[in-house]
Amino acid sequence: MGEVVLLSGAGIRIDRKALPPLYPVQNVDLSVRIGDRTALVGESGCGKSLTARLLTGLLPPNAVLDRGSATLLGEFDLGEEFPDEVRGSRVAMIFQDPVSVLDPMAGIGVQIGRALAAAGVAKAERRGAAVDLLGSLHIPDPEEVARKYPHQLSGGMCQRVAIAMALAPKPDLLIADEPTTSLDVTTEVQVLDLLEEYLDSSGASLILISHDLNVVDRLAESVTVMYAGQSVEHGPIADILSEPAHPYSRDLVRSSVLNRGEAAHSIAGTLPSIENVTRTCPYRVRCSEARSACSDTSLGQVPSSDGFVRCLFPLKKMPGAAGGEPV
Amino acid sequence: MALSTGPELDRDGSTGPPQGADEPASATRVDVFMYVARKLGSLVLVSVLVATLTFVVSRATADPSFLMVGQDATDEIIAARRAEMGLDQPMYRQWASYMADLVRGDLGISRRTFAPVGGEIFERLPATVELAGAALLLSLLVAIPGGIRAGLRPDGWIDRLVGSIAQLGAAIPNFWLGLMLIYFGFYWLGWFPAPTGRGLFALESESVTGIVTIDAILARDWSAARDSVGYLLLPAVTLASGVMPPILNVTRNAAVSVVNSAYYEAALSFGVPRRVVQRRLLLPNISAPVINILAITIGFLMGGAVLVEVVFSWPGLGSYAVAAMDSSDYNPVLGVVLLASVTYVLVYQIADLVTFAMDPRLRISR
Amino acid sequence: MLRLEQLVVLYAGLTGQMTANRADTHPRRTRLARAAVWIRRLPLLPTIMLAITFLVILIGPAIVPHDPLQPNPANVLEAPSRGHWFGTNGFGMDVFSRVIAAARIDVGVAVAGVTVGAVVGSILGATVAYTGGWVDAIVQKAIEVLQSFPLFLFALALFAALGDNTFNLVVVISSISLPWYVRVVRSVISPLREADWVKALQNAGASGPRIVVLELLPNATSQVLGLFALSTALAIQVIAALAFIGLGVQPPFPEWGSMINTGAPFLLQGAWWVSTFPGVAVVLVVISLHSLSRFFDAETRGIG
Repeated sequence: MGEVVLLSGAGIRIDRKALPPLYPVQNVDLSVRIGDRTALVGESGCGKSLTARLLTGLLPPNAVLDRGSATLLGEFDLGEEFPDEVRGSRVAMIFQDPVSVLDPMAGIGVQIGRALAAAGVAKAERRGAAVDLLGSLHIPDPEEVARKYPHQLSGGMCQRVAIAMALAPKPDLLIADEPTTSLDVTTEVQVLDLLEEYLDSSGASLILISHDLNVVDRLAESVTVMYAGQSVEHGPIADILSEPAHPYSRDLVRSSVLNRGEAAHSIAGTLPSIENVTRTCPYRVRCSEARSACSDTSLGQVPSSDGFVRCLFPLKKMPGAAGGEPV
Repeated sequence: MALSTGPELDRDGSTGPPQGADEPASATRVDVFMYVARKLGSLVLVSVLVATLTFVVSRATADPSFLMVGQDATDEIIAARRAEMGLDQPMYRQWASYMADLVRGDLGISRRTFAPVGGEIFERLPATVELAGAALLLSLLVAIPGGIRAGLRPDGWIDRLVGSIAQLGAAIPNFWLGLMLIYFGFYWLGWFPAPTGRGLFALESESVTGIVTIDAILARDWSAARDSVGYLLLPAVTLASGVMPPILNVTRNAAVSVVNSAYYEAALSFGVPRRVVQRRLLLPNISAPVINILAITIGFLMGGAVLVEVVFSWPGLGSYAVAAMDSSDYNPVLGVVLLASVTYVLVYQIADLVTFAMDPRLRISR
Repeated sequence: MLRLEQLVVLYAGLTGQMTANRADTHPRRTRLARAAVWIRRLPLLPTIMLAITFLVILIGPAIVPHDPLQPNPANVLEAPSRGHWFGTNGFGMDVFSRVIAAARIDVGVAVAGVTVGAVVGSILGATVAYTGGWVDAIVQKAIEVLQSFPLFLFALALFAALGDNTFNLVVVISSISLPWYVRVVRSVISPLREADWVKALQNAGASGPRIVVLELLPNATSQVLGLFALSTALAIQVIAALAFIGLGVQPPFPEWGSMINTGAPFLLQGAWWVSTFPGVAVVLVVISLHSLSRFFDAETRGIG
């Protein structure tokens, strides 16, 4: 099993009643190997979260894998029905809004118990195991927390409980969808520490979805930049932050608060419509580097030794790329 | 849709004593006490208002004294009768004595039978309870599993099927459906008895609950049980066809919103098997709206399923009210209206309390 | 027979939440465009069915093959045939002609009653929502009390108090539908009370009634239209049910409910057609109104 996740040209179609379908994900290439820590970055609405749902087999019922191929853990075709038992033990997910992720009607201990049951813990031991798990995540007074209900806990505490449930079955692949967006800064640091601790000790792979390049820089080794449902650039994090090849990557990094030296500036314009699949560059209308060829030449990947860029006129010559011509 | 929106608006924890910081998981007794007290207050207030409305209607319908003495009475006889009945008193005194009578269970006299309305209602209650219970049972058997299944896959074939059944059920006038069922079940197929009421006469043993089917089963009188179920089935199906659609819709929509919720998706992503998620997570989370609609349904059924009872000559409260109405005898009509309304308010408040007890977000303050 | 709040719950279930989600944008500009979209996307079958019903109400009595009130002792309880499409009743009257003629009274009284309830209820609901405070609280409590009455028995008692005639039937229908409009319109408009554009209108000196009727009420258009279809359906059912037990419209005047009632004894003799066809008429009209109501509810949820 080489790749934990292998998406090539994956696209998702959402069918709507009495309206034309939407194509929020159009062309995503993503390859994650065992132990890799990859991030998906891009503006909200670029299809990051839907890609994550695809990877856990939790697409909404009206959404289907429409094009390309998607394979999980080398054996599961994500275009097919996804076996329930793969979730949890093989792939688990951490969500953006921790408070709404917990069952409001069940106690914390009971909820973690359900996840533990799925991981094969016997009924009699679940309560104790749940408390141990909370303790191992450095939660003070785990006994007390196990007795509480979600509405009694802070957002940060809920996120730690959700992480406890995600990590309980020791998944091989962890997908974290904006895990710290709704948390304050100190809690964010703690949560990131927890995730890093788990990854270091288990050797699991991570797909981190975030629009916050600080968080990405902290956890991920490589980055895939997404724009309008397409993966536009992939490469090591250092390269993309310091010397991006795609104009959108550059603009995204510039607009991020990461670069405190210069004034953060936002990218003008909005995301294109997702009612059609575009073969040409989706960024050309907002791109400062756009030329006339951008609007009538269909786009291919320019591979490099450790990534790719999908642009007719990349900002730098891709290392290891043969001739630099689009394929 | 909370019925009593008033009391909820000013719910705050400040009425209770300072909570111990170590024990926020347990609700303070004062909170619960206040909640129950408020519910009780609302119950009493609405009941009084309901009774006041029936009082107004009873005074508006016709001068009760005139109805009691007949057409040939002289003015003196009428005046004497009015004084005897307290009708010469000012309105607020009349209202007070009306309320006092109600508290004692006195709903007035039927001018058709000259018997107290309260007693007559009490005699007919078991028939209505039996029919209502059977209809509720049938509705639940269809609506809860059907609604959940429909909600798990919105726009799937089950959703469309039960949706169509519910649409049809809501559109068909149930007195007409009753007649059609009588035509097919009795005249055409001959499987069911003539619509002549309940299978009372088959039962030889002593009545225990007043509900024939249960009495027969208690007495192990299987032929009587079969008989009474035969009488019960068609009216129960007819009645269920009308009350099932709202239960189904509410259950379905509640299930849809849970299935679309982040916590449902998250539980699946944590590897909790679908079966467990559906039983342990879906059921509690749809319980509040379902209990709410059940309370409304029970309240409705207690009002006597007027037309179904008429069609099947079922000797319950509904046919009683209609028979009284036919002879301009209004006390029984108002009595049934009052009983139904107060039952409804009571059941609704109980449902609210059950929801309160079940939902930790309401029961336990932060 | 559905009860008021049962339908409210049903309605709430269909619409999701009954609160306007456009609290901060003034809706005037999009109103015409949305009306155009509505008309183009109306569900086909129910619309045709209702159009036929409307036509039948207008010209029905002129085109029926027989006089709906003409007894014919020679043709009593004749089964459906070429001459009498729906057969004849116990007096030999043509059932088809009677079903057609009855549409005028059933749908007519329902629409009349519901219109009164809708106009008064909507204005009242919008006014209390805009006013707020104790007026709002009292109206809410009053609706709560009205809702605890079983709908049909309430209609029965109201009839007892008012007296049994067609005008009072309209009064009964409008009083059972009124609280419903108050409730729905109030729930749509209450969140708008604090909206910026409402405050702007107040600052510009617009009068209260003007704001309520011209600016606030139109926000509830799709809800009120949906409710109108739903409550007309309910009213038709109530009118037929009352007539079925002998209240309101009296035989031999053609009315669906009383026709079902007079046909009931003949069912047990095998003459199914007398009761069946008026019932089918009720079901068709009610189902069409229900789907129209669902259409407006979907609009409330979708485009808004």
